[in-house]
Amino acid sequence: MKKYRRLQTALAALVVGTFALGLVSAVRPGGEIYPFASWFLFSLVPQRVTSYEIRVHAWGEREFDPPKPLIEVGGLVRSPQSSLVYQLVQRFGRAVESGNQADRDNAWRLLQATFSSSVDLRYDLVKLSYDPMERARGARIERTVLEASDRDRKNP
Amino acid sequence: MNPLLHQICRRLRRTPRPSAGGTFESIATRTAHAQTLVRAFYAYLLFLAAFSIPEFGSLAQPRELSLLWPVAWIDAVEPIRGIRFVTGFFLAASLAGAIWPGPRLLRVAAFVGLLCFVALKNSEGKIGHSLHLPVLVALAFVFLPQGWQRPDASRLIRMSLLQVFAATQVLLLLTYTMSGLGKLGGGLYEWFSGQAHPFQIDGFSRIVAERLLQTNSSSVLGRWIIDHPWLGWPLLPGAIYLQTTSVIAAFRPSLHRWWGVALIVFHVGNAFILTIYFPHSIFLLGLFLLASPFAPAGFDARQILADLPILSVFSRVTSWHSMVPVTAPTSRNIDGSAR
Repeated sequence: MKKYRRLQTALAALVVGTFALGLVSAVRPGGEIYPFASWFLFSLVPQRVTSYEIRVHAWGEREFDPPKPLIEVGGLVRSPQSSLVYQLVQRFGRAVESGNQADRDNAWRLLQATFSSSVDLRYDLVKLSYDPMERARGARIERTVLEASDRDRKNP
Repeated sequence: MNPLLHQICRRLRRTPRPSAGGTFESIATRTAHAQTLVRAFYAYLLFLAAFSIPEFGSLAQPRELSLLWPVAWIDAVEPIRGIRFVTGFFLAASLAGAIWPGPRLLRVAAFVGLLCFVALKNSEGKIGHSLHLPVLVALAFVFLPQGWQRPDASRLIRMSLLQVFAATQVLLLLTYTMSGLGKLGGGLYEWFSGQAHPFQIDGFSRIVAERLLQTNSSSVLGRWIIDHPWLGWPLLPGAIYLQTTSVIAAFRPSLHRWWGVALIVFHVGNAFILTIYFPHSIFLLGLFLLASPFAPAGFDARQILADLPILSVFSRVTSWHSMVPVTAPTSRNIDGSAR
């Protein structure tokens, strides 16, 4: 019976611990305490969105006029529709805007790891501001170029 | 049971436990049922490992990684060799776990293998959550008692097995409750601060629009939800109710199958609307809720209504109205006068 009680206590601790560590994961600056997620997915409704986009002018021999968003360049990114690429572009954009060189280099290397090849890339980093409903219905969006590059960005 | 734990479980369960008659028989039946489901989980883990074999090669490619803590040691050794070790260990441990799920050591190995493999997959700069539930279930199953798989297990071992299984159901549904609480808290904050919120007509459409823009994708129903926000409106508050109250449903066996169905429909809907795929969660919901060993065999609509979290208040009001004429004439003060 003692064993049974000990098991019940351990299981209760597991459930409470999962809840508590999940909540800590939500507020921890370092992010999630894997595998205890907060599970706060889609917990906020997008208001006016500010995000970043990489617009590609040239990838190797291929030129794009007008420049194309990174995820629309066929074959450049291995999984263009995964949210991983979007999140990494946001990290890169935030680091560039705040002038944090270490974060910027780290985000770029992680982003580059999703590319299908290491051929030279010429791009602009653009900051967007839009209402998601209006943008989805084809309305114009505000774009500000944060960084225009015409050199190889493999190692910014 | 710890008195506080007992009190919490009793309140969440609400419905009285089944009478003592037939309890021993149902423990035996449920144990056999749970034993099969635990074995099915380890077979699934092996399937997951085998299904991931084509990925092993690309995971071991030299590239920049942001390693999560279970695989952070890979940086200290030769990375490619470390990654090959993780994938090989996961495959071997899940194979051993599927063949011999009895020994705790092998279940620990299967858990560690899965933990490291999922950590490796999520070390590319963003943590995805589609494989978190199998990790949590594998962790909970480490607590299975020794000899749980034996058909002639003692009553104590059978009760322990059922306890672990029930706790795993709670753990599984707790993750949905946490997600629901996040949406509820975030939504109320947005509502009271005058922003767009999940309870307004285009709340869900805004989420759909932003998700599809972020991933440059189109979905079967996404465009339709964006163009007709009022048709999508009930989905988000409905999902918030379903998710937030999930952990309560874990304590009410009459709801197990229904919550399983509803959460699976929720995931299928997410796939068609938001292009978000959680196939592993769908499988585990099938295993732990649709095939729950605690779910009653028949369909008792009145019991289900009475057990519905929050909404059961309506069924209680209905039953109170029907009780009034019956109880009123028989209700008497101690001296025999009518109340």
